[in-house]
Amino acid sequence: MSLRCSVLALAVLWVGCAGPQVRRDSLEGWSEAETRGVRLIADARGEELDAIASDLSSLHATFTYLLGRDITSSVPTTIVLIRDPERAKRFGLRGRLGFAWSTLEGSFAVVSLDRRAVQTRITLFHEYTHLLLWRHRNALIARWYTEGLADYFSTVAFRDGALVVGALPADRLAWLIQRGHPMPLDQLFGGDRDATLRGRAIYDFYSTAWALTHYLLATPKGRAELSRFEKELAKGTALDAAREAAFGRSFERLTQELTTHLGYLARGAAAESILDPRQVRLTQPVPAAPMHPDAVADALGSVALSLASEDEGESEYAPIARAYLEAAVAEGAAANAPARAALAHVRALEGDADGAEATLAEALRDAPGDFSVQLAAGHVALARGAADEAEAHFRRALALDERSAPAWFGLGRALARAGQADHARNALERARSLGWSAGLDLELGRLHVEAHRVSEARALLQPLAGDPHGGKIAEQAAELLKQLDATDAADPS
Amino acid sequence: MRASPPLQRTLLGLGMLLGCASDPVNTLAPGYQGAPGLERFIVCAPNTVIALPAEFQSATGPLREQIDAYLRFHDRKAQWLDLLECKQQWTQAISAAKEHGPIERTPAFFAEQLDARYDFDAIVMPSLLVHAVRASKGYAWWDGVQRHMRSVNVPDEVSGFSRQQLNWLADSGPSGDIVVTSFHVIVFSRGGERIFEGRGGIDFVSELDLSSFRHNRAIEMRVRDDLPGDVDALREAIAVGFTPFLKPPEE
Repeated sequence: MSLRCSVLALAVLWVGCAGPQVRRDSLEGWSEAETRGVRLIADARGEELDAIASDLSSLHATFTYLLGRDITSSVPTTIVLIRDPERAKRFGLRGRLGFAWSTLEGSFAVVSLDRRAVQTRITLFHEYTHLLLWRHRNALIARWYTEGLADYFSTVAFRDGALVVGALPADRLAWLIQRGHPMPLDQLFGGDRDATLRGRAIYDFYSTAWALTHYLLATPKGRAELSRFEKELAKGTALDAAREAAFGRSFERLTQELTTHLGYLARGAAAESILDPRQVRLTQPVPAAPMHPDAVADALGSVALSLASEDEGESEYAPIARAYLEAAVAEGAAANAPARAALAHVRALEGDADGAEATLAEALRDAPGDFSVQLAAGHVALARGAADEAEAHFRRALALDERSAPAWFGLGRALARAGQADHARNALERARSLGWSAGLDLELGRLHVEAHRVSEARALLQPLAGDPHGGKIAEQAAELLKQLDATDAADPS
Repeated sequence: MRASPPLQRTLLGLGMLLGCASDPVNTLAPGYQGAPGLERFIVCAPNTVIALPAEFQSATGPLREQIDAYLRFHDRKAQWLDLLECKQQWTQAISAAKEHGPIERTPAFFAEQLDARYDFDAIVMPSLLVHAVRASKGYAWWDGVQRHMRSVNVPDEVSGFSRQQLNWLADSGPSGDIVVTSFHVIVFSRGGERIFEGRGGIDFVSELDLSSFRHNRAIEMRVRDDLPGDVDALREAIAVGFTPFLKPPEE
């Protein structure tokens, strides 16, 4: 390490910043592996990560077999497995074992590395199922659907010469005992935040989602019904019409069937599916390799930056992203322009315009032809309100990769800020043809509201606003819909 | 998002689900004590017909090994069927039973199907059960065994505690409904008649972890790594579970 880098490292270690400090020893002992296009980064030695990668590869193969086709990703997928409880909390693992999110730039998951391999595997499979379901989507996936399937596939395991799919997770079994009956299905599908996410309702919501999935996936007829129902809802069919089209019977009847199924499970019936493992084509993952501390810091910083970018505005993850990216630069990634560009982006998110500009200038000087540097430069310019400059950087990024959804999205936002609504809408529509994110639909919906294109706006914003788990984006979508309603009321014509 | 459920609540729920504590009331058809004339056993993969929670799937490996060793100890030949085949044959037998009469005849059809493919004298269907028993200060008695919940990571010294007090803490344990595992076995004759059913307690699912006691005086219950239990406990459970169909080894 050069003297300059050493000084920077000391600055991080001893002077500290507003955010958490990154100790060098915490960046040692990490490994990375790759399987099925997924980059796994773990606070673990190679042998342990090899086993995890092999498990993940087998889940992917099982999914491919059951679906009859491979689901490839158009964006990189990164999964971080964290052992240290304090670090896990900083990365959002408070009261949860894992979570996943997908952006236009990549798919990510953070998973707690448990002492017991089986627990890690179940969490990893749950989150990876979410990521698989989100691939190639062009609309929001209903939460009950994605959570139900994620739970269902979380327990895939090879046992005694068979592939076992749909074994019961212990916590869902416990729910069976404590509650004994499902949440009413009209509430599961159409309940608001209060009805599905408050108090005990949240436990009932997730467990009923799992139970329904478990019940319907057990038969070909049920699988067809589940798939049809989800597709009807995704294309905007009203709940009752979607129910009739998919199931042809009432929710009360469906609830009765589900309650009977739960009764069998409660009596200990082995209701999992047993498949022939020879049908599943397994592939061997690339063996795990140890990571250099700067690579660890860069990877963790990038993941935190993705979380911070999702939050749009003040985010608890921005200081974490900054701390790791500063450590990455100090540890040896100084020559890595994308790492510095990412650091500039996070500084901009934190409102440190001067720091962002200085760091970005170095990255642009060293690698003006780098796509990720131009993309970050666009974000930095957007953060300080320089729409024209942002537009120029996003256009340069598109010159390097014309099929980049995040670059089209950035360009659309820059054009919208510059008041070029029609051009902005075209850019956002182009982004939407290449990828999907809730933020993209929100931005596009906002443009439609401003132009008073009511039906287009409602089609994009209603699913977002109706997602009880949608967070800030759901709130903003609901606000825009209110504006639309107010305008309609004032001018019914 | 995968939430972390309170472990003890989950385990208690499981216990209530999958049965209650009981004395080992192993039932044997007349004339089968010591399994006279039964030399060749078809052994089904564990938990072919009884559900096994996902977290316990890998626990069938050690169970299978010890059952195999126990049958060999008794000079019996064990031919194992994998889960896929067992499940397929059992499902087929259920269909046949439904078609020809009461579903209770499923084992008879199962035996008939296996008889067409294998040479055997009896069919063994083992399972791992997860259930709850009433424990007192870490001690519990179920399915023919008595166990004490083990403690791990007991510190050598802790400020303010004597060695004797630390030992006492390590030897203490919880009271109430605690989740345990048991071995369960059904043996069918070549004609599908149920000739034996038995249970043997294996061990607690959890252990006491004192690793953070030095820092925060906390003793935590955590799921043990060696599910379904240590080897000695598993061997004892299998011996108890097979008694009196097979004579237990002498002390």
